[in-house]
Formats: sequence, C-alpha cells, structure tokens
Amino acid sequence: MKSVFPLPFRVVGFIIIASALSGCASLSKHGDEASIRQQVATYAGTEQAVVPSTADARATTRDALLAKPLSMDDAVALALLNNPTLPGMFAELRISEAEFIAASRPRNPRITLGRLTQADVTETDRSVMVDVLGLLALPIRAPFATQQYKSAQLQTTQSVLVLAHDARLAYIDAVASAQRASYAQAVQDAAEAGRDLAQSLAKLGNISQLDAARERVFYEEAIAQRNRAELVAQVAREQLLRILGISDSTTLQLPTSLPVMPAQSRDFRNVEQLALNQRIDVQQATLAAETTARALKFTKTTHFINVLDVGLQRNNFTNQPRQSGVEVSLELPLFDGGRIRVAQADAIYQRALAHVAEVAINARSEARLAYVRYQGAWTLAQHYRDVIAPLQRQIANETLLRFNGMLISTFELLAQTRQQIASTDAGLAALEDFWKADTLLTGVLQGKSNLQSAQLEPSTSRQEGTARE
Amino acid sequence: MSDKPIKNNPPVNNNLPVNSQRRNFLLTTGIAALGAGFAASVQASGVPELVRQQQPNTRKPQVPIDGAYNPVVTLNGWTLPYRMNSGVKEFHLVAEPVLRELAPGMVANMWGYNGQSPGPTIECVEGDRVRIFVTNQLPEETSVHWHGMVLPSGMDGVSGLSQPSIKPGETFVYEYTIQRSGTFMYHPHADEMVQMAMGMMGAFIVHPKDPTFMRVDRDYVFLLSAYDIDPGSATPRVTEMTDFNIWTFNSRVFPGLDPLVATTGETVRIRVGNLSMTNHPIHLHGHSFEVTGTDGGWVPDSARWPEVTTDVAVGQMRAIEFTAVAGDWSLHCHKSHHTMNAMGHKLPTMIGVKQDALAEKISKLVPDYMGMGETGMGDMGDMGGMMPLPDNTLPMMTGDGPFGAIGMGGMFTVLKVRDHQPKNDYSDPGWYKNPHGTVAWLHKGPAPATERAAPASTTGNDLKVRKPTAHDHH
Repeated sequence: MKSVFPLPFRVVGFIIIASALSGCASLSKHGDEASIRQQVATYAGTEQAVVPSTADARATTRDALLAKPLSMDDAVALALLNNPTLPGMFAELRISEAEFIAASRPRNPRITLGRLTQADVTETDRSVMVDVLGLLALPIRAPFATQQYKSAQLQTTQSVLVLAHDARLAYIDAVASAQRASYAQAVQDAAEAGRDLAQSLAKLGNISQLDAARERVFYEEAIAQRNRAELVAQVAREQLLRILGISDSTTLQLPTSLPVMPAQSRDFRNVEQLALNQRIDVQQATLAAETTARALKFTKTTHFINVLDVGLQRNNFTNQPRQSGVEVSLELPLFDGGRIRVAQADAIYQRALAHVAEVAINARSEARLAYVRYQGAWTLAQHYRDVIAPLQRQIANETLLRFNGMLISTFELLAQTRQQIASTDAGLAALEDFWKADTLLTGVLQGKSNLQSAQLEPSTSRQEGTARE
Repeated sequence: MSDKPIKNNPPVNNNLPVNSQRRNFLLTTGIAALGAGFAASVQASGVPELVRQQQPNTRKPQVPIDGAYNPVVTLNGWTLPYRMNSGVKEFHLVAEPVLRELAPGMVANMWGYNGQSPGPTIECVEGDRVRIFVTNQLPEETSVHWHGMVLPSGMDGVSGLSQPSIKPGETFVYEYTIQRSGTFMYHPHADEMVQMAMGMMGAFIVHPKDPTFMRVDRDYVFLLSAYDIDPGSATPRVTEMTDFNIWTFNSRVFPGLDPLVATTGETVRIRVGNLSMTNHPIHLHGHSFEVTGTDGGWVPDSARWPEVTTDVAVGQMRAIEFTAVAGDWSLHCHKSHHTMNAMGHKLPTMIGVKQDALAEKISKLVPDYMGMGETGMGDMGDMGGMMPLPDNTLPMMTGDGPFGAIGMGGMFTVLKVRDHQPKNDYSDPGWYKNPHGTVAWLHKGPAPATERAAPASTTGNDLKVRKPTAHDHH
C-alpha cells in the first residue's frame, strides 16, 4: 500500500469547482418523484410511468388503461399510477429532501474504487477526493444530511421498483390462475358431457347404475376442482386489485391468457456486470460505506479540521488471478489518517468496504442464478409450446380418429380430452414460470437481495394440473 | 420307398436347363421369379430357384400339363412352382419378412414365405418324393412343421425336438415321401407363437394318385388366421392371445378378399385350415354341403351329413363339397365379430341415446365430434369411407354391394355362381343378376299399424327383489 498526496496547486482547482456546484441545491417540485418514476419505468420496461400532474389527467390515464383488458406492462403502469402506498412513499421522500435542503452542502467528496486485472496481476485503486473548501464553508453536519437524503431516494426507488415487480408478479398470478380456472371449467364441461351420456345410457338400461355413478362422481369432483381453482383465481385477482389500487373489482378486465413468449429470449453477455451497475443494494452499500466514513470524519473534524482536499490512492497488488475486472465507483467521504485513531478508523473503513464487497458478490451470484433460472424457464416453456403441445394436439386428433372408427367410446374420448387439458395446464405452468423468471431476472438486476431470493426457486410442478385421468 | 418312379410326372422336363423349366412355370402360373441374383448363387449348390409373389390377388391354378391332378386355387394366394430332380419334386421356401396388403387401404408388416403371408400353397401328389429347401431370411431361428403329414420323425420340423433350428441365413432340406392325399398345412415350430402371430403359414395340398378320385370341378383352399394390429400401426402385436382385431382368410380381409367363382351345377370343394387361436364356424349361404375331408383324410360317404356351417377348430382342416347354385352367396365365419374389421369391444351400447345436445357440448371441447350409434351401428357401413380414420386402418364395416352397403369386414367373402361362367374361368363375373321377381321388394301398400311394447323398467323393482333388505336405493 502506498499513499500519494497531490501537489497543493492542484488542490486549488478542485476547491473552485466544488464551490461553484454547491450553491445549486434547491427544493425539487415533487421530491425527485418524477425522476424516480422515470427510473422505475425504464427498469420495469413500461413507458407509461410518467405520472400526470393533475388529478384529472391521472384519472383519464387510469380510465384509458382500464378501458381494455389490462396488459402486463399496463398493470405495472397502473400500479405506479394508482397504488395507494405510493403517495406516502413520495411524501416521505419530500420530508428527507426538506431536511437535506436545510443543510445543503457542496458536492460530496469522491472516492473511486477500481479493480483492474492485467494478465494475472490484480490492481485495486481507491482514490478519494474531498471538497475541502465546501467542508470549511458549510455547516459541519451537512454531508450527513446529503447522504441521508440520498439514502432516502434510493430507498424510495427501491420501494417503487418492488412495487412494480410485485404488480407484475400479481398480474401473472391473477391471469394464470384465471386461465387455470377456465381449464378446470373445460374439464368440468367434459365431465358433464360424460355424466349426461352415462345418465342417458343408464336410463335406457344400456349401462349399469354403477358405471353411471362413476361418471357422475367424476363430474362432481370436477366441480370441486373448478371451485377450488376459481377460489385461487379470486384470491390472486384480489391481490392484484390491491396493488393496482382498484376498489371496484368490476372495472378491471384481464385477458383470458398469459402473453405468449417473446420471439427471442433475453440474452445478456455479462449479467453480473449489469447487476453491479444497476442494483440499488450495491448503491446502498456504497452509500453506507460513505456514511460510515463520513461519520468517522465527523467525529474527527473536531480534532482534525485541517483536513484539506486531498487525493488518497491505495494500490493493492495481489497475485490472485481474477476472472474479469469489475470496477465500482464510490462516492465516499475522505477521512484523514490522523495520528490518534488511525488504526481504528482504517479498520472501520475497511469493514465498510468489505460490506460493499459482500453485497457485490451476492448481487453477482443472484444475477447468475436468476439468469440460469430464466434460461431454464425459457427452455421449458418453449419445450411445452413447441414439442409437448403439438404432440398433445396430435394425440387428440388421433383419438378422435379412433372414435370415428368406433374403436373407442365417447367416454374414452372425453377422458383423453381431460388429459389434454391437464397437459395444457402443465404448459400454462411452464409459461407462468417463464414470465415470473423474466420478472425476477429484471428485479435481480436492479433490486435488493432479500427481495427475490425466496422466489428464485422454480415453482412447484403442476404436471397433473387441475384435471385428473 | 423314395426310389420308386413317380407315376404322375410333373410338367417339367428335368433335363431342360433351369431357365427353361422356369419358363414352364411362368407359362402355367404367370408367376414372376424374383431375386435372380440370390437364385443364381444357390443354384450352384443345387437349391431350386427362388420364386416370389407379391400381388395379393388370387392366382390361376397351376395346371399340370399332363393332367396328373386337378390343381387347387388358393384364395388370394398362389401355388409354389417346383422342379423335378431325379424323380424328386424340389421346392424352395424362403422364410422372410413381407408386406401384405390385408385389403386396399391397409398393409401389414408380416413374416411369411416367398414374398407373402400366407406362404405359397405346396401341391403334390400322393406317393411323391418331395425335397423342400427352406432358407431362413428371418432375424431369428425358424423351422417348418408339416402339419398333418405322415413322415419320418426327423422331418417333422419341431425345433430342438426333431431337428436343430434353422439359423438366420441357413438353408435346411426336408425330404420325405408323401403317404396320403388330403389337406395339410405348414408352419414354423420355432418361436411358434411369434412366427405364427406374424403370419407364417401355408397350405399343403396332396392330390390323390388317381385324378378321378374325389374329383371336383373347382377346388379352393384358404387358411384362417388372426392378427392384432393396433389401428394406426402395421405390425401385428405378437403377444396378444385372445383379443385379435384382424380376422383373415389367407391374411386378407373383406373387402380385400376375392370372390370364389363357380359355374352352376359344378361340384365345388373348399378346403379350410385353421391356424388362428380360436375356432371358426364357416358358414355358406344358399347351399347345403358335406364335409368330405378332415385332418386325417377323406370322409367315407356313409359318415357325411348335410350341413350349412362347419366348425373348424384350432389346428384343424376341413374340406367341404357342394353343388353350386346360381347366385351371390356369402361365405363367412359365423362369429359375427370375425366379420368385422378392427373395432372397439368396450363401447357402451348407444342405441336409443339422443345425442344432439351431448354432441353440441362435446364439440365445444372436441371439434368435429359426431355422435354415433343412436340407432345401432348399421350407419357405420355407409360412413365407412367418409369418416377420417387412423392411418392404415380399415373401417370396421365396409364394402358395397349392388343394393348398398354390405357393412362387413374380416372373414367374409362371396361365392359367385353363374350359369354361364366358363369352365376354369376364375375371373370375377360381377354382381349376380337376379331373375325377375326373385329379389326381396319394398312393400308399397299402406303401412301396418305400429305397436311398440313399453320399454322395460330398469330401476327400482329389480333392485328391491334382489336386495330385499335395502331400505333406500338412492
């Protein structure tokens, strides 16, 4: 490790720039609400997240969204428009902003952490730049407020993102479970036809009451299955309604089926890099490290107020090979080595950095896992769509041919129909799984680690679906 | 005994080159010799040329030029040519996989002999010395058992018991002197269940030394066999024991079976051998016949009685004889399921069930669904050609006659007797022209009053009678 202290005349330049920037802080109109919404909209892939400013315009947009069966993107848009917890979130943010403005400060000191790989040598660079003039000119606790506001901003962004993802997952659940209920209805219809036929046959004495009862119990069980599926669908729909902030259930129209798979799967070259670039938890960890350092500095300034705008660079050379170089830029406050608590402060700072590293490692792992999960779900759904579904159609056609030839009975034909519906149901489960994996991948590339990890497990198999043989 | 000269010499001059002998066969039977390369290679070792037949229609009888015997006509089959070699009749059977058209619209992957299942009929004369070369082109061992024949034990063809199995690629020789005339069969006796389920069998006819003995004007032969070919497939399921769906005369089903043809007043013999796994009551319309031959030989006059149906049990042969009466007469197995092609046997009886509302309900789930059987299954005969069926599957009941759908399948064909059918002409004379006033006619007067009995009750009473202790049946 080595430290490099820049020459005094270079420090002067930084002071001037920092001073110029620091005077600009003022209260935003909506507590940065618009920029957060836009950011979430970009992340969530929906274009309609820009919230109209007036209540009337908001109502118009909402009515337009509700006028037709809601698409998946529109569900997200509607949630961002209408979700009842959003106003509270943004109000919270405005409170933070007000506090920040009160303690408005020039730009933060800046630390750049770089890790570069050259051949088999890894070089870690950390450079720290502090606006000394700003520190001298403004209240001592101002940087603290800056970080708090930044943290609040990130927290709000994160919450809105979670909301967008929850809306999407709830939408998938609601549509798929309604679709499943319609399959259960089809199974019931098939069973009903079988019951009717059996009743007619028994009435004429062509089959026994025993056989008729068997067909009937089939039907009655199909009713039970359908009831169950409808209840599940109602629960899912209610959850969606809640996220969308809709109180009158009748105003919401959902399509009868999940969207088909996109023509191409999402192909990421470096999904881990993407996660590190985008994830809010990485940003939050960075900010936490910054806050820690800032706190150290805050306590020290009572003793070391002459800390100036300095650049600190540490170069760590190791011989441990890395697969790829990852650069993380961090804005951190500088603390000076000082004389009394150098060792402790250094350890605290190292701990903060270690936390950033830990978050980054987890983020990378989750990104990998979510991507694998996404690719697996894609392959599976594609297999159902391109292989199993056509086979089931072929079986259905061939079965009908056998019925035509009086090789099988109507009952066997109906049994095959039920089986085909069950298989369609398994295909639906695969498609549902795909859309969830898609949503989770998006989330993992942006979100907080503890959000999706539980949902990263592939959903339980629905091979048998709601229909029985 | 094999050295004594054969009295009834065949139409083949043994001194002629092989090709000339073959030309004789071609002249008399119209049979094409195939696999010339194979034949050429085996002739060097003294094996007769291999002759194959792949057309499924009935071939003309192989008439001996010298009139030494009256040949048979094999229904949808043919007779294997032979050559004479130093007084011995030499035949060459090759056991091999074959494609057999069961009827137009359905082809089966089978095993047979010389290009077909069943194999060609072997014809010879009582007292003949025969030498039968059997080449195995199957993927597994085989053997040939000469069913009903009196012969040395070592010629009986039971794998392991009377001889080693014929391994794939090997040729075995069976040689013996024919002891008695009559109707016989040949089939494998190695992995017999599989090989017979695949169609390996053939008729073996021994004519009397005296061509005037038991002489008839037309002499037909066919074997009864059954297969289980799942609709949509083409290969028999060899493990089936009872539930067969293809019931054949000579591996052929109606409407693919040719008619049996005769001239009014002729004496006609039909020989039937049963190599299926159940008995078949063979029934002929419009005649009464006598069984003149059984497995063991000819039946003395005193032991015959007139009948219209004779049961041919498993492994049996029967020869029936009658005087032909003009008309189109059904000839069929009287087990009615055996005159059907593949069909379901677990279908509920739909008679009387109104299906309109049901069909509407079902067609929502199964487009193209059509309710059937409400009035019976007779309309299937009409619909046979129209409803799409699985690949390679025949309608369960089909075939058209001069008055409409015949609605049959399986073991069913027609004996066509005509006043002016030329002697020895086996071609199909078309439908019978019934003399005026001899066809059932539609009554055109006022319809008789319809009286129907009330349908029997199926609820309540019966249950109570049988279970008097039951308090409540619902």
